[in-house]
This record gives sequence, structure tokens and C-alpha cells, in this order.
Amino acid sequence: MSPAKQLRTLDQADFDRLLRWLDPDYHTAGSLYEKIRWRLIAILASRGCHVPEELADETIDRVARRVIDIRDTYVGDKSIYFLGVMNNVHHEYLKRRPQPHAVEPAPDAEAKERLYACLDRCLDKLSPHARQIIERYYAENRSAKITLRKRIAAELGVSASNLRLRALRIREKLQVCISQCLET
Amino acid sequence: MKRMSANQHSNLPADEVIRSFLLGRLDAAAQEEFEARLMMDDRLHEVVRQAELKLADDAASGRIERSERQLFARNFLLTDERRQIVAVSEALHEKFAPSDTPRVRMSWREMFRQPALRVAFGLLVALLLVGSFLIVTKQPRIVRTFFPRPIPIRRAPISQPQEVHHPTNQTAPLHRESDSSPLEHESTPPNSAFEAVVTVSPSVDLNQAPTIALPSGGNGAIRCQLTLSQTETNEFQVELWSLNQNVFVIDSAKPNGSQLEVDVPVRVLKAGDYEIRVSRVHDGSRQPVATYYFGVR
Repeated sequence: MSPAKQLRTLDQADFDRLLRWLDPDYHTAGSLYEKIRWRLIAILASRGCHVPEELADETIDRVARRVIDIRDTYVGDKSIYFLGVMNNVHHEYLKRRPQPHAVEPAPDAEAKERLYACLDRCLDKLSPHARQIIERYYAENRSAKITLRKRIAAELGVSASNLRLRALRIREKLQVCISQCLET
Repeated sequence: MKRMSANQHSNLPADEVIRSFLLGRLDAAAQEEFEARLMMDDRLHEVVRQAELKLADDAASGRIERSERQLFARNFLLTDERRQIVAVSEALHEKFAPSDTPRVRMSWREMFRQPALRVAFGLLVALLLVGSFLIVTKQPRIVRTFFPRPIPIRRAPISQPQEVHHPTNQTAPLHRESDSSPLEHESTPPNSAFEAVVTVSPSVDLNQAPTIALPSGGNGAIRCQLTLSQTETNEFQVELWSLNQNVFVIDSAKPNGSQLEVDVPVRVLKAGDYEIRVSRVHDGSRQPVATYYFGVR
């Protein structure tokens, strides 16, 4: 691809075409898009890439521009097509000479305060039962933790692994709530 | 080829494999296999998301090993989303497990609102003032031990202008080119662009590592000259680590023969020990080449 083409930003028509290629239903396609982006970022991070979000977006842009050519002929899992393009994007990134970069600084006190406020707000939104699970899951010190979790699991009539799963699901909801809260 | 070991109760990869993926320590074949599967498998996607949260929790509560901690900083904390996940884990631990790691969250201002602490601090200051006064007035010798009387410095008379074309010494005059030739950078010792130059070799451990003084200002750079075991032409990735934190990365550094020169901005350095990791990057995988140490005071 020529540099001029690379510089061209993704237009709405390309993006809509990409979503339609992923799934005719707009909402299902949106959800698939989010999943694919998250997976690309996870893979790039696992490879030690310092700009995973940037390269994932570059990958999606390239696929979106190619959809017009491949949509009628491509056979197979569409996610794998993204992986192939991502490999090229990553390979090109490794061959370039990027500027050295310092690692993100730690959050300042103000950011921490905002996070705590959002955490409190999101904890308040949980059902009493879910709040109890999360509170007790994170309670107690390290050494007592395993014993405590077994006790909570017994009280709730579930296995320890099931309790972990429940706690992590609640934690996932909390994370989404906090992200939204921090954006506002 | 190392294959992915499966979870006992499902055909999903084992927890340890998922953790290794998140920490970036799977071998090339297992990594490739995992990546392809993650792209297609919704169930694995969900499990990896949960493993991210679990890993963040473990890191926040100090339940990861030292070797994992370095990988965690290097390969996990690379996205804004993950940094936020870890911040939430830390907040949850701090909120619900105060006995785990007692942290003082009280600010100085809050501390001074407490009357007892205010009185104690006042008394301490008064005691120090009275003590100092007594020492100065009653025991002036002790004071002179620490603060000797300044010896007046006699200024040397300004010498007559020297004959620059007729040096009196035996050595050849130092010749400096005003415009730098392309080879100057490779052959000359430090120039004024660098605050300091430190030469380190991979065989030297932390205890014998060179130490440099942190230059004042903070706009310049420290040039680290890393000795390689052999002449190299390939490019390397260079990472600078403080105790546990990755502070600086150069994704592509080209060696000059058997030496690799890396310029580290002074602003990223603080007093302490530093580790430089040099890796060879090939086809997306990284192969460690050497580790160097130096100290900053």
C-alpha cells in the first residue's frame, strides 16, 4: 500500500461496510467489532508491543478498506483475516524506527480521588447480595484469603471456583461502571 | 513444539497458559496457537478477560512473584484499559482489605488537624531550637567541628595572555574540528550534548556496576555505551528498568561494531540502581541478549 493511501483516514462508508461484512445486524456487528478490537489489543500486548491500541486500530482500518474487494470471495472465519492483517501491521511496526518513549506516569492524587469516588458510586449500584460477595471476596489478608473464600463459598452453597467466577463477573460489571463514571 | 495444556474441566487452555499469554511468556508456537484460538473462541475471550482481572488483583495484593512482576510491567501494563483495571484492583484491596497492607492515606494537612500531633510537633521544634542555642553558646568547639571558619581564598593573579601557537608543554596540542565529520560521533569521547557517559559490560553485576552522578538541570542525556560480546549488525530493543519499573524503551537501536550506544534522557532518571535489558526482536518474538547495570546517585 502506498504511503498516500496509508495516510487516508477511514471514512464512514468503509466503516459501515466493515460492520455489514461482520454481520447484517448492526448491533451484533458492533459487538463483534468490539470483541475483535479487544482481542487484537490483547495479542499485541502479549507480544510486548508498546502501542497495542494504535496498531489494532490500524489493522481494523486496513481491513475496512479491503472489505469492498474481499467480501464476495473471502471464505472462512473473518476474525482470522484480522489476525493476518495484524501480523503484517505488527511486522511493519517492528521494522520501523519508532521514537523512544517513556512509560506512562503513575496517576496523580486527584485522579486517584476520582477513581475512589467512582468506585463508591458503582458499589452503591450493586445489589446487596453482589456487594456482599465482592466485599468479602476482597476482604481479609493474604494468608486468610483462601480459607475465607472457602467459607463464603460454603455459606452461599457454591464451590470455591464458582464463587471466584461470580466475584469476577461482578468485578467485570464494576470495571465497566467505573470506566463510564470516569469518562463523564 | 510446546502445546497448550488444557483445563481439567473443559477444552480451554489451562489457567497457567492463559496467565503466561497475558504476561507474554509463551513460546512462539504456543503463542501462535493461542492467538488463533483467541480470535475465534468467544468462551476463551471471556476467560482471558477474567484472567486479566485475576492477574490485576494478584498484582494489587502483591501475590505475584518477582519474575512475574517484571513481565507484568513489561507486557501487561501496556494499555490504558489494563492500567485502569489495576488501579481499580488496588482501590478494592485498599477499601476492603485494610489489614493486608496498612497504608497511610492521611495527608500532611489532615495530620496537622489532630491537636495531639500539633502539640507534639511544636514541642519537638522548640526542643531543637533550645538545644541548638545551648550548643552554640556553651560549646562553640563542637560547632566549629561541623562548621569550620572559612579560609579566605586568595585569588591568583590573572596571568598574562599565553602564546597559543607556542605551547611550552611536550604534548601535541589538542585539535578540535569546528564542524563535525560523520565519523566523529563514533570515534570521539563524550561531547557537550551528553551530561555524562557510562560504559558498561554485561559481565559486571549490580554490586560492581559503575555509578554516575545525576546531572542537574534535566534537559540533557546520559550516553550509555554497552559492550556487546561480539560485533553485531542487527538492531536491538533496549529497555531501561529501575527496581521494578520499566522507565524507558528504545524499540530499535543499531550497534556500532561491538558497542551499542543508548542515550537516556536525564529527566527519566532518579537516584537508584538501573538495569538495561538488550533483546533481539525477530518476527515478533523477543530474545534476550544481555543485561547491564549501573547506578545513579
